[in-house]
Amino acid sequence: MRNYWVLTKVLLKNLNFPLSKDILKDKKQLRKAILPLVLILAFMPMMFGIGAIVRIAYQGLHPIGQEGLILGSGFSVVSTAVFFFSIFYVMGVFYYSKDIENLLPLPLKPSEILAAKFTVTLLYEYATEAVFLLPILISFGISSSAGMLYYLAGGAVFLLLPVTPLIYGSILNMIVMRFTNIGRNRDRFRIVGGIGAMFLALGTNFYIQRFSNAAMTPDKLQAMLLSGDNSMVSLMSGIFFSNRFAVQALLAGSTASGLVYLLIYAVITVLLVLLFMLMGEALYFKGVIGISQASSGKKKPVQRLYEAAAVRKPALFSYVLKELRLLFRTPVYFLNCIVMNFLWPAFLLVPFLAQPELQDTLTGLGKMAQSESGGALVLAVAFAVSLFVSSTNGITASAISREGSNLYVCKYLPMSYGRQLMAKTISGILMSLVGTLMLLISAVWITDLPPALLVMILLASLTGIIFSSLTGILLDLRFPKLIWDSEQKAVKQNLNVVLNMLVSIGSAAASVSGILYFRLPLSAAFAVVTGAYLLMDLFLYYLLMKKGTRLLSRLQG
Amino acid sequence: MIELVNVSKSYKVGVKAVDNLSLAIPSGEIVGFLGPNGAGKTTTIKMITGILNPDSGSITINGTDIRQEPLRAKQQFGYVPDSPDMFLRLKGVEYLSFMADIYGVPGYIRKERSRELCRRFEMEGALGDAIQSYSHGMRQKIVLIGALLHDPKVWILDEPMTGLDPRSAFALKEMMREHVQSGKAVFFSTHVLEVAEKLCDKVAIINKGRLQFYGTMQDIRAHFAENESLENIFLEMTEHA
Ligand SMILES: Nc1ncnc2c1ncn2[C@@H]1O[C@H](COP(=O)(O)OP(=O)(O)OP(=O)(O)O)[C@@H](O)[C@H]1O
Ligand SMILES: [Mg+2]
Repeated sequence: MRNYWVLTKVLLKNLNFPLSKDILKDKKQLRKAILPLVLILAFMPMMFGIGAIVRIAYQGLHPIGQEGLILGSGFSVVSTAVFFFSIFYVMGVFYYSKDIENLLPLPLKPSEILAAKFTVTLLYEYATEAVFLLPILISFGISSSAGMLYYLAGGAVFLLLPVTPLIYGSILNMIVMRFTNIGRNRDRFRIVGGIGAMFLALGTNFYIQRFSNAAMTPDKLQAMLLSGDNSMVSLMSGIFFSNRFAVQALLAGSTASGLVYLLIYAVITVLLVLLFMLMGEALYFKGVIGISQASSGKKKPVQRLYEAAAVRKPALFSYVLKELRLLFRTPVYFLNCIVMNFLWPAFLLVPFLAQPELQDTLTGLGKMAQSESGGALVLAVAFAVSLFVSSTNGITASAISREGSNLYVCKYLPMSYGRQLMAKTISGILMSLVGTLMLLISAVWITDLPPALLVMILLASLTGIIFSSLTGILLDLRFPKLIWDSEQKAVKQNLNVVLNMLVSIGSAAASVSGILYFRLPLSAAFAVVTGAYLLMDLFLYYLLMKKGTRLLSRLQG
Repeated sequence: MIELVNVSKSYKVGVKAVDNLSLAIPSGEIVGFLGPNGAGKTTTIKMITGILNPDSGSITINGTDIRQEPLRAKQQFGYVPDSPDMFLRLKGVEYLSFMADIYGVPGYIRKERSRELCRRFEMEGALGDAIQSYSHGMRQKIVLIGALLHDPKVWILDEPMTGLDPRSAFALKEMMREHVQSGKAVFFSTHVLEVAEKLCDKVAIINKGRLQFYGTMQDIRAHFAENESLENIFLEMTEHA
C-alpha cells in the first residue's frame, strides 16, 4: 500500500498535473493551470447543450414515468465513451510510457504499478466525465427538483462510474498485449487506434446530432428510446450491467432503498477492481516485457534496397519526401497533422447526413451558387474554410519545433536554409491542398456547384493555403519550441499552431466580410481575393527568404 | 585541409568554451582531437561544420570559408555527430537515399559506394528496417555511411568509435588510413588514447577551450620524457592546465 501511494505521487508529478498546492505561488504552474481552464470554457457550450437536452427529455418522459431512461442511456453513453478513451489512455500509460523501463527493475509488484497507473488514468477519465456526466446529473437533479440525498448519491456515482469501463479497457489491453503481437509495432498500433478513435468521435457526433434533433420533439424521442432504434444503448447497458443500480440509487430519492442500491453498485465495482488486480498480477509484466523487442517485418532482398537507393532525385524533392515520411510515420504527427486534412470534410458532412432536412438547404445553395452574388458568397465561404483547415494541420507552424534537438542537422547539410525552409513549407502546402480537395469533392458530392466556380475556389484557396503555410513557418521560426521530450509537445502543446490558426481565422474573416461588405460579384471577388493573397504570399516568401533564413541560422540546436 | 584561425566561442558570457584556437589539419593526415569531458571538442567540431557560429576567428575547409560560402564548404566534408539519434523513423535505406540526394551523388556511384560501405560495416541486413530499431552502434554506422556516400575530401567525426564493435572499429580505422593515403584529411575526436596513438599522424590536445599541444607522436615524445605513454602525457598535460 505504501509503495502504491509513493508511486502514484511520483507518477502525478511526472504528468505535470496542475494539482499541487503551490499552484498559486509559482507563475509557471499557474500558466500550466490556465490551459485546463481555457478547455473548460471551450466545453461550456457543449455542457449546457447536454443539460438542455436532458431537461427537454425529462419534460417528455416524466409524464409516462420513463425518466429513468435518461439516466440509463446517459450512463451507458458515458461508460462507453470512457471505455473507448481508456483503451488509448491505458495503452499509453500502462504500456508505452517512458517510465516503464525505470519501474521494471524496481522491487514492485505488478499490481502496485498497475494500481498507481490506474489511479492516474482514472483522474484523466474524471476530466472526460466532467464534460459529459456532470451536466446530465445536474440537469436531471434540477428538473426533478431533487433533494440533498440525490446530489450526494450523484457524487458517489460520478466517482464510481468510470471505474468499470476503465477496468474493461485495461483488461482488454492486458489481454491483447499479453497474447498478441500487435503491441510490438507500437507506431502502427497507435495510428490504427488513433484513426479508430476519430471515427468513433465522428460516429458519436452523428449520434448526438440525431439525438438532439429528436429531443426537440418529445414524441420522437420517446419513440426512439422505446423502439429498437436504441439497440446500441441496450447492448451497452448490458455490458455495463451495474449501471442500472446506479440509476435506481438516484431514482429512489430519499428512501432507504437508494442507499442499498448504491451499496450494491459500490460492491460490484470493488469486486471488479479486485478481479483486475488479480489478472494484472498474471498478465501485466509479461505483456510489458515483450514490447521493447523491436520486430522487423519481411525482408526485401538487399540488392533491391541498393537499387531503390540508387535512384537519384532532386534534393528539394527528396527533402519534401523526408518531411512527409516523418509526418506520416510518427503517430502523434500523423494524427494531428495528416489525418486532420482528411477528416475535416467528414466533420462538415456529418450534420448534413444526420439531418435529411438540411439537404434541401443544400439544393438551394446549389441554385444560389449559379447567381453572381451567390457565387461570390460560396467562393468566400469556401475560401475561408480552406484557409482555416489549412491552418489546423499545423504542419508548417510546427515544422521547426518538430526538429527538436535534431535541428542541428539542418545546419550541416549542404542545402541552403532558404531551400530547406521551402521544402518544409511545400510539405505543408501539399497536405493542406489535399484537405481542400477533399472538401471540394465532398461539396460536389452533396450539392452541385458550377465547374467554373470550383476552379475559382481551388485557385483562390491555393493562395490562401500558401498564405497560412508561410505565416505558420514564420511564426515557428520566430518562437520555436525545440526542447521537448515527447513529440506530443512539439505539435499539440505548440502555441504557434494556435497562433497561426488565429491569424488564419482573422484573415479569413476579414476577406469574407470584405466580399460581403462591398457586395462584390463573383468574378471581382475572385480577382480581388486571389490577387491580394498572391501579393501577400510574395511578400511573406520574401520575408521567409530574408528574415526566416537569418532566424534559422541564429537558432542554436 | 581544415584551417582554424583564432577561433573563440562562449555559450555563457565570460566563459569561453573554445578560446582563441588555431589549428591546421593538412590533407593526407589523420588528426586526433583529445581532451577531457567538456574541453570544447564538440564545440570546435560544430563550428567547423557550420552548426555553431564562432564569436570570432575564421574557419576554412579546403580554402572555402564556412561562413562566406557555406554550401560549398559543407559539400567538402562528411560529418558524423556525437549522438546518432536522428531520422529515427526513416528506414536505413531511405536515410542513405536522402543523404545521397542532398549531396547530389550520381546514381551509379551511390549504388557502388553504399554497397561497399554497408558490406564493410556489416549493415546489409538492417538496411530495410527503421533506424529506430537499430542499436546505438548500428545508428552510428548508418550515419557514418550516410556521411561518406559522397566521398567527401574531409572527414569530421565526433567520437566515431564509441559503440562500434571491434570489427566495425577496425573497418573504420582501415578506411581512415585508405582515405588519407589518397591525399584527403580526417579529423576526429576520441577518448581512446590507444587509438589516437596508433592511428593518428598528429594529435591535438585541448583543455578548457585552449589548445595544449598539437604535433606528431614524435613531437610529443621529444617534448616529454622518452617512452612515456600517451596516457601519462595526457594526464599530466590536462592536470596542470
Ligand atoms: N549547448 C550548450 N549550452 C551551454 N554550454 C554548452 C553547450 N554545449 C557545450 N557547452 C559547454 O561548453 C563546454 C565544451 O563542451 P563540449 O561539448 O565542446 O565538450 P567536449 O570536449 O565535446 O566534451 P565530451 O568529451 O564530454 O564530449 C563545456 O563546458 C560545456 O558545458
Ligand atoms: Mg563531445
